[in-house]
Amino acid sequence: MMQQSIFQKKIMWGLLIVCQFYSCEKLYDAPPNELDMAFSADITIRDLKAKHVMGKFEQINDPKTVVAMVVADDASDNFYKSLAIQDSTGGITLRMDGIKLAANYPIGRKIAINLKGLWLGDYGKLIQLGAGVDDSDPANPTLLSIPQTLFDQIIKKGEVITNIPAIKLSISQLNNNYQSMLIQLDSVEFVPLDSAKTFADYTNKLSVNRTLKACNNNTIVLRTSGYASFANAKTPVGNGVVTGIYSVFGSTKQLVIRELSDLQLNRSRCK
Amino acid sequence: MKPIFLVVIISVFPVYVFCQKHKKTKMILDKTYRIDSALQPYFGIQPETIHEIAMIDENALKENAENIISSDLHATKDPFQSASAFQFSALHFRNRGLSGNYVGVTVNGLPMQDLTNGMGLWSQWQGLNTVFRVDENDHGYLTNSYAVALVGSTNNVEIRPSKQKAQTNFDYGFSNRMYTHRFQFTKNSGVLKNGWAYSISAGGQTTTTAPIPGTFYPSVNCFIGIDKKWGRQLISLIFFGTSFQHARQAYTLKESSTISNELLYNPNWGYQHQQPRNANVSAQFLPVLLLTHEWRISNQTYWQTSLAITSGGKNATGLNWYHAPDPRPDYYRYLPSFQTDPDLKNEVTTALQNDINQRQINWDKLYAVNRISNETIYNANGVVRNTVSGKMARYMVENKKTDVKRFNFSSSYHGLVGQTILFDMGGMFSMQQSHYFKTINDLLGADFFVNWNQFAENELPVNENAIQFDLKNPNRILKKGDAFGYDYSLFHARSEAWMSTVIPFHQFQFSIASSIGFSQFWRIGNLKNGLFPDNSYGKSTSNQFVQSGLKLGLNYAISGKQRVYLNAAYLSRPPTSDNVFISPSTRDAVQENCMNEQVYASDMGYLLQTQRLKVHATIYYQVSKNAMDVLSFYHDGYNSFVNYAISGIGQTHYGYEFGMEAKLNNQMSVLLAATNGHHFYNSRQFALVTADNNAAVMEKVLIYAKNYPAINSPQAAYSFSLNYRNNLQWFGSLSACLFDRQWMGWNPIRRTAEAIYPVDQSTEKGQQLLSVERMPAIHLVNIFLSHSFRWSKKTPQQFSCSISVNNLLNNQEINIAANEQLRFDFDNKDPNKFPPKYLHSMGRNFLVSLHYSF
Repeated sequence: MMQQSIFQKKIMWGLLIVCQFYSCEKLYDAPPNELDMAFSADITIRDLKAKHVMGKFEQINDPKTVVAMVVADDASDNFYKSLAIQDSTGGITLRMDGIKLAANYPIGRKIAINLKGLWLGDYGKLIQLGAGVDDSDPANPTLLSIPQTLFDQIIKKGEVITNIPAIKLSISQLNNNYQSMLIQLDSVEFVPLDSAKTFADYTNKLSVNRTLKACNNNTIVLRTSGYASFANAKTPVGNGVVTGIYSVFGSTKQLVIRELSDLQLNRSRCK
Repeated sequence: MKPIFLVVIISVFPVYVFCQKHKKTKMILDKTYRIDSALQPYFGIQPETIHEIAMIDENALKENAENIISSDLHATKDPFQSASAFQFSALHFRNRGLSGNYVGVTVNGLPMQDLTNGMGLWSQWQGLNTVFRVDENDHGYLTNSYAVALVGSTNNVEIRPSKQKAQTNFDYGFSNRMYTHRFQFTKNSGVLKNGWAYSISAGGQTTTTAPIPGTFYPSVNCFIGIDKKWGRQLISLIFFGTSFQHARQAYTLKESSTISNELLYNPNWGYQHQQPRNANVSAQFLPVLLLTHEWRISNQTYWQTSLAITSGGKNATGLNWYHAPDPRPDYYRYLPSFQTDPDLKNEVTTALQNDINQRQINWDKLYAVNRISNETIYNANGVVRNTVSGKMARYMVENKKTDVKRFNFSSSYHGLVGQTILFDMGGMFSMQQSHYFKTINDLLGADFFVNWNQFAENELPVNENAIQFDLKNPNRILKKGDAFGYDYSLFHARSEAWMSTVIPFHQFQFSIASSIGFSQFWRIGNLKNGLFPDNSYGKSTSNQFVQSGLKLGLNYAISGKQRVYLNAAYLSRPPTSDNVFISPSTRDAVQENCMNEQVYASDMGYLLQTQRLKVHATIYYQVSKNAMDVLSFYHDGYNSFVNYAISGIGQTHYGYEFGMEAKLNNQMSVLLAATNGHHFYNSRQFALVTADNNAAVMEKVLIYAKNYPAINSPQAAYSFSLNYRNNLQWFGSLSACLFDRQWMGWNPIRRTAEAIYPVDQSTEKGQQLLSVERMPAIHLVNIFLSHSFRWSKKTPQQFSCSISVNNLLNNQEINIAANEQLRFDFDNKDPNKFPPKYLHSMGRNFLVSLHYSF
C-alpha cells in the first residue's frame, strides 16, 4: 500500500509537470526587415502627366514604373483616400480606396507604382491617378480609386525618409507643374478676415477655404477638410512660412497642409 | 489528506506563475464549448460567434453561444435519448430547441453552472469521459433527485472513486476530427478492504493534421480522486481539471469560400514567416477541487453534501489595430462584391485567388507596418513632460482574460416517507467572481502601445480625457503582458432550496417538486473610464431576483410494461448578468426593466417496454416570456461597439418526440428516432440601443419578432439505425439521419421599422429584408463497428477496437450554423451588403479507438 501511494505521487507529479509544459507558450518568430527593393523608374511624373488632356481620361497600357515619394498622407484626415506623391520632376495625386493609408504609406515613403492598367484623370484640373472610370453618370464621369486589395500588386513599398525638403516658391511662381508637390511659401499670413478662425467646420464636417496672402498682396487659398483632426483649431495671426501640397480647383490656386506644424506663423504681420 | 491538498495546490498555481511571461492564451472567448467525444459524429465545429471585429467584447459572444453536451456521457436506455445523443448531436441539435442554459448538470449532486450565463460547465472536464458518466438523466419534467429549477434536462454525473468500476484502462484514439491523437489512462481501485478507493485518470490530445486550416485543439487533463468509507459514511475528495486550447474556426461568407474554392475556408489564420499562425486562440484551465460527503442513513435514505472550489482562467486572443487598415482578410471592403466596376471586380477576384496572403491574415505585413510606425506620446504614464517616442503598435494581438473563482455548495436528503413515498429535499449555494481584463499578448515587433480608447477619439474636441481607459493612469505606456482596456469583476451569488416528492397510489404516481431561490449580482469596476467617469468605477447597485419553480407530474401505469404520463411546470427564472449589463466593459449600465423570465411547460408521453420492443412517444408544449438578451457588435460607421439591450423575448416551442427500439432477432435490432417541433418567438421585443463610446441612449426600438423561427438548431431530426450485436464481441451500427427545419440566426435590428422604412414590405426587397433564410436539409450516413477480445473468461483483461465513420457519403455542403451579420446597411437597405456568415463542417470523417482494460 505504501509502495503504491509513492508510485501514485510520482505519477501525479509527472502529470503536473506535463500539464505545465503544455500551458507554457513558445514565442513567435518575428520576420526580418523587408529587403530594400530595387526601384528603377522608366517614366517620370512629368512625362506621365503629359499624357493627360484636361477633362479626359487616359488608360496607361505600357508596363511603366514610376518611382515617387509620398509627401502627403491621411494621418490627420485632411487628405482622404488619397496620397500626394512626387518625384524630382513633378507630383500627382494617387486615389486609393482605403482609410488609414498612413500606416502603410506614411509621408517620406518611397514607392514604385506599376502603371499598367491605371487611369489618368483630373478633378477640377488637379491631375490624379486611379484604377478606372465610373461613367454611371455619362455627363459627369469620375476617376475610380484603386481598390485596397490591389494596393500591394500595384504599389511596391520602399524605405521611409524623414525631412523631405519642400520647394521654396512664391505665390506668383506657382503653376500646374507643381501640382501635388510639397512646396513652401515664405512671408505669408492669413488675411485679417480669416485670422483666428477655425480651419474648417468640424461640427458639420465641411471644408472651408481660408485665404493666405503674401506681403505683396498675392493670395492663395488654404483649404482644409472638416474631418481634419485640426479642423477645429484656430488659424494663427502671425506671418511666416507655410508648407503644404499645391493643389488647384479650376483656376484657383490652393494649398493643403498635412498637419498644424506645416504652419510656422510666428513673426509679426506685414506692415 | 494533507499531502493531496498540497499536491493540488502546487499543481494549480505554478501554471499561472511560471508561464505568465509569455502566455499566449489561457481562456476562451466563447461562453461554451463543444465537447468532443469519442463516439459522437464530429464535424469540426465549436460554437462560434459572428465576428464583426476581432476585438469583440464579451457581450457579443452570446448571440450564438450554445451548450452542446457530450453525448457519450449519457448512459441512457431510452430509445429517443440514445438516438438524439449519438446521432443528433452532430449538428448543434438541441432537444426541444432549448438552449444550453436550460440544460443542467450536477456533479455528485452539485449544480455546476457558470453563473454569468447559466451554462453547464461541461468543458471543465473535457476529455475525462471515462470517469464522468451521467448516471441520472432526467429528460423532460420528471422529478430529479438533485435539482429542480430547470425545464430542460438535468444530468447528474457521478465521479466518486468508489462508484467507478475497479479497472485499469488505456485508451487511444486516432482521428481526422478535432484531434489526431488522443490518449487516456484511467485507474480505478474500486473499494478496497480498508474502505479506501481511488481513481486516477490522465490524458490528452493533439492535432497534427488540422481538419480545418489553421485550427488546432491540444489539451491535457487529469483527475485524482480518493474515497474513504467508514460505516455509513462516505467521504470523497476529488481534484480534476482540463487545460485546453482552441485555435478557432470562423464563420465565413459564401463569397470568401467561392473565391478560395474551399468550403472550410478559415480567415482566422495566416502565414508569418511561412509558418501558419491563428489570431484567435482560446484557452481554458478551470480546475475543480470537490469534497463530497454521503451519509447513508438506511438502505433507502441518504444525505449527500458536496462542496467545490473552482479557480482558474479562460482567455482568448484576437487582433487589435489602431490607426491602421482592418487586418482581417474577409473584411467586406476587400472583397470583389465591394467593387462596382466589373473590371475592378475581376481584378480583385484574381488578386485574391493568386495570393494566399491576401486571403489569409498577412502577419508579415502587420509587422512591416509596425516597423515604420513612429509616434510620440506626451505626458506619458501621466507624468508631465515625460515624452516617449518609438514604434507604437498599429497592430497587436490582445488577450481577453477572465479569471474565475467559484464556490459551490449543496446538500440534499433523499429518503422515504412511510413505505412508499419518495421524498427529496435540498439546498444549494453558489458564489462566483469573474474578473475580466485584457492584456497585450504580442506587440508584433512594435515597442509599445498606449492605454487609449481609440473609439473615443471622436469625443476628443469636447472631452480631452475621453480616450483614457484609465483616468487614474493616463497615457500609460504598455508593454507585452501589461493589462489594458477594461478591468472589472462581476460577482454572483445564488441560493436555492427545493423539495420533491413522488407519491404512488395504486397504478398512479403523483409527483410534486418546488423550489425557491434568491440570486444577485453586481459589477465592480476597477478603472475609471474617460468616457464614463461617473459609472465605470466601483461597485454597482446589486441586481436581485427571487426565483421559484413548481412542477407537477402524473404517471399512470397501464400495465407493468406500459405507462402514460403528464407533467406541467412553471418557472420564474432570473436573468443572467450577461443579459442585464449592457456594456460591462465600459460602465455599469443595466437594462431598463430587469425582470424574471416566466416559463410554462408541459409534456405528455407514452412508454412501452417489453423484451423486444421499446417505445417512447412524447408531445411537448412550452411558452416563455420576458427573457432578456444583450447583443453587441462593432459598427465602423459609428466607430464603436453598438449594444442592443433586448427585453420582452418570448418563445413558444411545441412538437413531438418519438423513439423506438425493436429487436428483430438475437443479433439485429433497429432504432428509430424522430422529432419535429415548431419553435418560434411569440412576441414583439423591445430594444434599447447604446454605443460603447457614448452614454446616450441612441434609440429605443420595437423588434417585430413575432412568429420568427428559433434559430440554429434543426427543429426536425430523424434517424434510423440498424444495429448488429454478436456475443458481446462484435457490434456494428449503420445509421441514416435527416435534419431539417433549421433557420439561420436572424438579425433583430433588421426587423425594426427603422431598418425597413421606407422600403415597401410587399416588394421583393421588402420580403428579402424580412424573411429568414431556411437552411437546406442535411442527410448523413454514419457507421460504427467494434470488436472486443477477451483472452480468457477468468481474467478481466479485455482489448477492444472500434471504428466510426461519420458522413460516410462525404457530404461536403453541410452548414452547421449560419448568422446574418448584426451590422445592417441603414443607408441603402441592402441586405446583401453585409451578407450572412456560415459555419461549414467537415466531409467524411473517422475515428479509430483502441481500448485495453484489466
